Amino acid sequence: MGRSCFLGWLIGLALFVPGVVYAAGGPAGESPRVAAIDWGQAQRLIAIGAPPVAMAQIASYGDWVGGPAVPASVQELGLRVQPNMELLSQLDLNAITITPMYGNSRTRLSQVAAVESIDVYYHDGSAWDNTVDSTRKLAKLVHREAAAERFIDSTRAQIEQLANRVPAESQPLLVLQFIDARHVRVFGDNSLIGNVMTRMGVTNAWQRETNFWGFALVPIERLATIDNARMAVLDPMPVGVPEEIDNSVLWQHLPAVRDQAVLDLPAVWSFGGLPSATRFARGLAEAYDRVASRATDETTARRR
Amino acid sequence: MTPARLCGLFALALIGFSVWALATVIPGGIEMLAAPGDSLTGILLRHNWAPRLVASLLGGAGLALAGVLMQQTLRNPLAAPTTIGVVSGVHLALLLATLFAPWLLLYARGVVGFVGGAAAMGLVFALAWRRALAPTVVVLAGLVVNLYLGALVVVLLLFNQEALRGMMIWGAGSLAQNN
Repeated sequence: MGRSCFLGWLIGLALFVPGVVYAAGGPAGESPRVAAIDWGQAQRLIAIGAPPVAMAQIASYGDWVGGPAVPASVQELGLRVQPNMELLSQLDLNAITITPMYGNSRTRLSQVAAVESIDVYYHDGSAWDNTVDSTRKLAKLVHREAAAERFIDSTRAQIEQLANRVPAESQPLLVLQFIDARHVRVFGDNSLIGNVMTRMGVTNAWQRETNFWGFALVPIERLATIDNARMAVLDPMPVGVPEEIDNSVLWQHLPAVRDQAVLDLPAVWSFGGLPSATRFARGLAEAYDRVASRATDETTARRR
Repeated sequence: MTPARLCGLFALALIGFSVWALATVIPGGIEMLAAPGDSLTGILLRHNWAPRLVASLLGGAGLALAGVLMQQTLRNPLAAPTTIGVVSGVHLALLLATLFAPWLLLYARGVVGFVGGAAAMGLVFALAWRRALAPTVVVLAGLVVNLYLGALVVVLLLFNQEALRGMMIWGAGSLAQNN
């Protein structure tokens, strides 16, 4: 080992040790500085009052996740699959949370801060239970356990309350999201959306095979054999799809479309956390209300 | 046996199989195909099964024809829509339109694709023009254009994963039909 090499090593150590001490200790009482790569985790951190220092793709989060709103203090990290490493290393973070989806970035991210991989789908158990569980883990990371418990309880209560607005004799529900005019995602029982439906006492009309996340990507003809179901479509609709399905003979003749009004639901991030669950429940309750009020309007109009 | 006769033979066999499948799997299938009425099976046959069959045949025939035309006009046995950049040009044009001018796709999806493909082919020709479109030079230029456009396609997909999911399904070759 040459002298210059040894000197370099010493300087490196001298710079490294205080860094570690600082990162580990941090100013007392302040909550840890966390960056979130996954939208579902960022969403829950915002919901429990500990927004991340930085998160990825904030603009797309607005389109696809919808809420809760990202505070202005949160910095943009760029792509979820390729977060800005320079910015991450300047943010003086205590931890970076990821899901196993972003496991590829783990080695790179761990050079900046401790990486916490908190998952919902990569182990057994229902999506709801795992989401609640992972919310607790996230809360522990930012020392907001009490807030998380309050948040979990209020989510449960809100969904229970919204369930009262579901009509008593409601049909099984088919919840889908358009990928293009010929392909949809249908959400099964073991998705977060399916779990919320069960909590609300709504039967899921999709009882066939689903993937890892609890949905199935199918061409729309696969929906033709599902009778006695109501259809609910999640936003956002890809461009041109509303026009195309209006003219689609096949879509218009699907039993669930032909027999009754299709429910319009807001954008809900199906891989999201509890805020997405509440958002779905509220969207569903409001959609049922709209259909009911339209039906009463029609009856009154007919009576006149 | 000439290639034309061979193709004709395959086509006949294919039509035979289709009709046989239709008649045996779905009783009354042929009548329903002609007049679907309100029955769901009829509608699936007329607006999903038959268009998908036709789309797959047209798609295959179109690609084959494009390949043959290119090989003949360029006197280049390696020319094909995939080797001289046309496919990546179409793909990129459709992705760009989906992201930045979606209204274009409502009216003129085919035109958008055609313009993209023609532009990519123009680029390949421009690169190979000085060598009088020598076969190897054309193929190499096609390779370069393919790689560049392909890289741009991947960048767009990476930055707009959610919005372009439909394009990914199309790119993977789904033939599902709804009308």
